[in-house]
Amino acid sequence: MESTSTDWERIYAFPALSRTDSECWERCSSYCCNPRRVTQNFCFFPRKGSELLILPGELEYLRRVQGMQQGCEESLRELRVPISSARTISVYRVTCTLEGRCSAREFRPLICRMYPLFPIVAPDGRVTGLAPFSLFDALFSMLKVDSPCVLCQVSLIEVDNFLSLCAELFKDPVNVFLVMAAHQYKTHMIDRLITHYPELSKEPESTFFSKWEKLFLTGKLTDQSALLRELASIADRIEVTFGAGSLGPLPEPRIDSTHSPGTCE
Amino acid sequence: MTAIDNTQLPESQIEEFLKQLLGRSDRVNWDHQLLDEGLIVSMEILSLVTFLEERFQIAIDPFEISPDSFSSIRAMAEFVRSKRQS
Repeated sequence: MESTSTDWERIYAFPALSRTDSECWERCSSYCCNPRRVTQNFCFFPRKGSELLILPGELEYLRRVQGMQQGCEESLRELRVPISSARTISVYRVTCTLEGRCSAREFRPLICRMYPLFPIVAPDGRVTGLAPFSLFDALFSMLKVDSPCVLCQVSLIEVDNFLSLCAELFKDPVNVFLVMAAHQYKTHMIDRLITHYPELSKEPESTFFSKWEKLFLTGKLTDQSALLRELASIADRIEVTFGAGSLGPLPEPRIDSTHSPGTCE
Repeated sequence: MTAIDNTQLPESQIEEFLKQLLGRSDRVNWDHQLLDEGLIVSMEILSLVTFLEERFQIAIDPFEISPDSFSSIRAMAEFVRSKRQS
């Protein structure tokens, strides 16, 4: 199901945390656009650029206003996030290799504009807290090292702008689900890392990320059935607030084939 | 996904899975450098690992995987054979 109620023009009118005038990139070597400090330890994940998620509806908006940033369209992949065993919501993944040299900064995707803050959102769309945006930032926190991003300490005015953007974004239950699902996914993965591989957090950063990559790609950091149950629970809670079917058409009820039509008991 | 014939060579089964994963109908050369040429990216590795483990009944140690093992269909099939023999 594509998002239909998000006003992307209004969303994109909010100032991004990493504004063009903040020159934050000079102090971190464009870490958000090119997290070399992490990716230099990887064998499979791209070592250049960043993998970005584009929300449903946002892709159509970007294509309508000016097109995807140069080079992103070729790497576009659809990712189906399960709501339950019978329903999914599509998001889109692109690999951006522009490393901060995107020409039309006002059309940077939402994920680039919200970084480094991640909203903790309740099923009714209220933002109840803030967390580090990316999984890597959460892993830095687990390793007790500072994130390379200098914006991790932001001013109250910027937080206020950020919260206003979130209020607009979370009018749409699809966006509420996707952001809650992303947070759940990160939490799930980190919990499994701590529980099943506790010795890993004592490794040096370079070895940690190298081993993390392999654990991730062999599916060791997620319990798919547990995660699906968690996502279904999130979806249920959202649809209690926003209404049944607000995350997409409900599956057709299964017909009991043991009863013939017109038969009276 | 449509069923894959498990009587065929591992290379054929892997090719069929890859075609379905990538939404392709044309053949994928068994020696095509999948990672180098960007045909598969990180998330496809995750799907491939799950497929190889389930289809060929092997257990893949996370710390034994390398880009060489997934560089091509033929490389993946060789990896599967080596796991079955060990």
